[in-house]
Amino acid sequence: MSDVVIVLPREKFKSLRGKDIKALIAENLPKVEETLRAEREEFLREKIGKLEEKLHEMENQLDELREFYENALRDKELMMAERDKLRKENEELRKRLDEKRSSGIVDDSFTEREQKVHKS
Amino acid sequence: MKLTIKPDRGFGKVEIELDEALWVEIEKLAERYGVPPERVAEIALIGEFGESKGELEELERKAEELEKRVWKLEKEYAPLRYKAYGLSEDNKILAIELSGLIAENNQLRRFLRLPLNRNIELRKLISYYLQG
Repeated sequence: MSDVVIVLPREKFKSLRGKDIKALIAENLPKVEETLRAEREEFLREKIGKLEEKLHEMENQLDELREFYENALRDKELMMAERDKLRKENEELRKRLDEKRSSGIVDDSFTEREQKVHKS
Repeated sequence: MKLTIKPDRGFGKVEIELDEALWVEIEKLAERYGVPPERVAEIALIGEFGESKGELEELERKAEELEKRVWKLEKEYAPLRYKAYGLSEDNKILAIELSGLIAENNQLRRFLRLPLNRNIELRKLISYYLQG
C-alpha cells in the first residue's frame, strides 16, 4: 500500500508541531465521523432538492405529453372518419358527374374547366 | 502505513508511522462515507468539525425514493414519446390525404354546382399537422 500524503494549510501544519499526531487522529475519529455524516447529509439535501426539481419538471412534461397523445389520438380518429366520409362522398359525386356528362347536361364551359383541372 | 503531512506553502514535512489498528479505523470510516482515507485524516488534523442533525438515514431513504420515482417516470416518458411521435406522423399523412380529398370534393361540388363544404375545424386540424 502506498504512503498517504496530506497537505494542510501552513498555520494548521505549524500548530501540529510537538503534538502526538497519532493520538490526535485517534481521539478525533468520532468527531470526524460526525463531520462526515454532516457532509453526507448536506450532499443528500442538495441531491434531494435537485431530484425534486427534476421530478416536478418530468411530471409536467409527462402531463403535456399525455395530453398531446390523447389529443392526437382523438384527432386521428376524427381525421380517419372524415377521410372515409370524403372518399365515399367524392365517389358519389363522381358518379353523379359521370351521369350528368353522359346525359349531356354538363355545359361546355364546365367541361373545359373540368379538363383543365384534370390536366393540372 | 506512513503518513506524510506537508504545508500548502513553504517547506517542511512531518512523517509518522500509523499503526495498523488506527489505519483500519480510518479506512472503515472512509469506506462507510465514500471518501478517501486522506480526507478522514485531514479532517482529524484540521480539527474543524461539523455537526450532524441526525437525519442521515431519513435523507438516504428520501433520496432513494425520489430516484425510484424519477426512474419510473423516465421509463414511462420514453415509450410514450415514441408513440406520440408515431401518432403525429400518422396524423401528418392523414392531413395530406385529407387536404387532397377536400380539394377534390370542392372541385366536384363546383362542377355539380353544389354549395362548397367549408370544413373550417377540419382545415385547422389539417394545417396544425402539416406544420408539425
